[in-house]
Amino acid sequence: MTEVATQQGRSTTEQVLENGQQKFVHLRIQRQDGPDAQAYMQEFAVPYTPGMNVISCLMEIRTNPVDKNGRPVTPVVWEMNCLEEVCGICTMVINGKPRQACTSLVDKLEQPIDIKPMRTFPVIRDLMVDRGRMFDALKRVKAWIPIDGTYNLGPGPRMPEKDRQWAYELSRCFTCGACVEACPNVNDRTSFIGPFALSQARLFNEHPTGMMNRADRLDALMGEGGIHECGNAQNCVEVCPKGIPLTTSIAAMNRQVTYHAMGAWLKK
Amino acid sequence: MVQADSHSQFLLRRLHTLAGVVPVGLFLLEHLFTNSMATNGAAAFNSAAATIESIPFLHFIEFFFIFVPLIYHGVYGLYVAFTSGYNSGQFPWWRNVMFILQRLTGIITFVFIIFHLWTTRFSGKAPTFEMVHQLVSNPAYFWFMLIGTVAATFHFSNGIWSFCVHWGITVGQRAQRVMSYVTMILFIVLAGVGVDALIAFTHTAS
Amino acid sequence: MSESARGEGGRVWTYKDGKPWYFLEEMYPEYGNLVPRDVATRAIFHVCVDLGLGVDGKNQVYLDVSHIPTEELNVKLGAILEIYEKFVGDDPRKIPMRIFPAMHYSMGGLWVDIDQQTNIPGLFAAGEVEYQYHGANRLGANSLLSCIYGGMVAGPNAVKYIRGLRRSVDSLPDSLYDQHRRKEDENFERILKMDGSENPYEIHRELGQWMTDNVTVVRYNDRIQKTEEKIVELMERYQRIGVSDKSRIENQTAQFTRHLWNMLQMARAITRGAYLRNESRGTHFKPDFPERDDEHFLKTTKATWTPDGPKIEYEDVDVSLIPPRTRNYAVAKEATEQ
Ligand SMILES: Cc1cc2nc3c(=O)[nH]c(=O)nc-3n(C[C@H](O)[C@H](O)[C@H](O)COP(=O)(O)OP(=O)(O)OC[C@H]3O[C@@H](n4cnc5c(N)ncnc54)[C@H](O)[C@@H]3O)c2cc1C
Ligand code: HEM
Ligand code: SF4
Ligand code: FES
Repeated sequence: MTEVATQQGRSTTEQVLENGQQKFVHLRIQRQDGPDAQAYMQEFAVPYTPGMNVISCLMEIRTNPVDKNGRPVTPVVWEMNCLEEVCGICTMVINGKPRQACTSLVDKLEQPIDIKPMRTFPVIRDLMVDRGRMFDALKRVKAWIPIDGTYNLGPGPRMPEKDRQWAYELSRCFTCGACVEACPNVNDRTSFIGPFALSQARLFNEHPTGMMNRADRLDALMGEGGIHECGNAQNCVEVCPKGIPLTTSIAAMNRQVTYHAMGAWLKK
Repeated sequence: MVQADSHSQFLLRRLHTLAGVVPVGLFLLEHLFTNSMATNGAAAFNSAAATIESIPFLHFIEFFFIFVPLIYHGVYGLYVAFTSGYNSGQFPWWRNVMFILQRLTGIITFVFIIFHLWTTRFSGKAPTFEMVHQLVSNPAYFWFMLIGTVAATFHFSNGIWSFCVHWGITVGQRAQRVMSYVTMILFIVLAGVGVDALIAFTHTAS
Repeated sequence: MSESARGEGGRVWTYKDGKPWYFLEEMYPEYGNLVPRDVATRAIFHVCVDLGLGVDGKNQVYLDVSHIPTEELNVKLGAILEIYEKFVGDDPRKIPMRIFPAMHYSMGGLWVDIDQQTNIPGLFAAGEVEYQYHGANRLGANSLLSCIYGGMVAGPNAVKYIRGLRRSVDSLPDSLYDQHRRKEDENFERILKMDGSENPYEIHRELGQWMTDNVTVVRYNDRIQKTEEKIVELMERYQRIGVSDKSRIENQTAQFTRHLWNMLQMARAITRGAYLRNESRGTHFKPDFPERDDEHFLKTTKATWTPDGPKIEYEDVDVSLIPPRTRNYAVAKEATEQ
């Protein structure tokens, strides 16, 4: 058992009346029946309960799948897992901004709440998208520390506490895709891997063991869709739910690739 | 997966940002400075222009150190502007607006430079105060020059900010913010110098 | 809110007679706020439910870290405090957090042998799915440890198992696979065609509510029995589900309906196991049987599926290396070790 904030543990049957009337939450949701289907909008009104977030609204819809006018519809498809903004799967565009549905509290949103899938990623169905390209990007920049082997490598080198603190901030990226969605340079005319991947390369380049693959990561950042595709619009840092200093990471990696490129050229 | 060691895109892009500052940007500064001589009267401008005319290998320098980098930066810049997305409607934040203005002013500058060169450098006339005066006496041309000058100086100044990030010079958020202020002041100064010179050209040489 | 907040010095309290009452510190002077989670959970339950002393009369108590310097909090607990702030709107660095215990781990799971192999030969299990390491209780931070250990045992044993096989997958007739595939396909088609009046999510909601109310922290036999009856009722209602989504693309309703049946089965096994265990042990707490009964129940509950509901058996726990002793968090560890 762990302790949760009580808001989440509230009773589901509690109802809120306004002038003796049930209060409703109004939502406009973009639906899409399949990867190649046409998108269309649908409106919903779900009974309001205090502390509600967008996910609890969607859950309300699937328990009683009818639209605003009471006509039966198929339940909205979306993904969720942790419900506490650590897994990143529930990212969608809510009132125009990419964010996590689980931490989008209804009380803080203007209604009707406008909900769309992220446009940067292929839509699978309704609000469910395929973020596969993000994981491919992480593979490309080797966003890990290779320590697997057949024998014990012993304790790794230590990291100064001061560096650990800022590196920890970068490590909080949960591949949610908000920065990729907001970036004007991620579109079908470019192959930009996205801000988060540059920041992850910085994180693992800083790690004392990860440093051993530093050159590989920098080479990847100089490759197709790499760091040069960034045009400094800096939307990423504004939308990142974890407040990751993405623009600092990008500039720091720009510095690293500059030295790396010049060093490599001078050594030839 | 694409070969990780194909760095050509990266190099072309780095060359683009470098070209924007080193030959092209420096030329812009020099050009603004020469033109501002007009504020001291026709004679001062004509003598500054003559000094430039007297530089040895002028055509060679002009071609390799100004035209080639400018064309490269301009044409590649058009391509970059085309591949960028524009979403300030959805994300109306300061840097995003600047990102769009950088591209927009680049395109304006591109058109401006072609027309400007065609009516001056390639018009077959000698680069004298009188020639410029004739041109800017036409109000339409004057306003065109004004917009072009403001656009070019904005593009250059904001470009310096972007350059500092692209080369990892300003890394931290504070450094980038301070640089924003510095480059905006630079823009106001340069635009002022350029517009001042334009106005000076409207006065008759006396 | 994560337990680590208590680990870093968070204090749990509520108001009693108008004054803050640090009940964990008072009840368990030796361990205070660091008592294991089952003990803390029960204490909070007792304070809220039995004594009616929850904050604002609701089922909640304070978890207070506001006495810890902000810089230290940001370094050690920054991420979790930020999430709390996002959900609740109060800054936990200044205002005590309001909390209540919630489920976040399944103790018990698939039966495995010492090689991490289930009773289906060749099927190995490691991690939270299997039962081995956290019988009646799981201590903080031990889950990942058991995942890593279990994985290290399961991996090599799986390889050993494959090497010892005389026939491999490819040498089995295709019809064997086809037959099973067809069975699953038919099951799915059947679900797609369900057109009754029940909603699977509603059944799930009721199941969750009943289980949470009656088969979690405090357990009474009469309520457990009613819960099993309820589960059987839900199983009947399950047959009358209407699947409103007929699509074959990412049909979550159909998938959920499919899983729901397993959840009902699982809930029934947990409920029956809880009913039969008349003692209190770790997180399993029956006020009517408050003592641990090693004589009858120092055993693992094993449930086997049968068409008429789960069949319960018991298996002895191996205590040959460490003899069990009384758990008493009011005194130091040494005092319980005679
Ligand atoms: C909020 C929270 C905090 C915790 N904190 C701690 C802590 O501090 N310390 C600690 O030790 N433990 C902690 N735990 C417990 C620990 O994290 C989990 O027990 C552990 O991660 C379980 O790992 P696992 O690999 O066994 O299972 P999981 O991580 O649950 O992995 C199961 C995988 O199986 C996949 N899967 C499920 N069904 C199917 C299917 N039909 N087909 C294919 N794949 C499927 C799932 O997608 C998932 O990837 C915490 C748990 C929670 C919820
Ligand atoms: C007066 C001539 C010009 C000067 C002095 C100039 C200068 C600069 C500078 C200094 C930069 C910043 C480089 C960087 O981002 O690191 C820049 C960027 C840019 N320039 Fe120009 N430029 C000129 C003309 C043009 C033209 C004609 C275009 C064509 C549209 C153009 C398009 C761009 C674009 C798109 C960028 C942004 C590049 C990026 O952010 O990736 N520029 N320019
Ligand atoms: S950097 Fe931030 S916005 Fe981008 S994926 Fe990671 S957490 Fe999401
Ligand atoms: S469900 Fe995990 S971030 Fe929202």
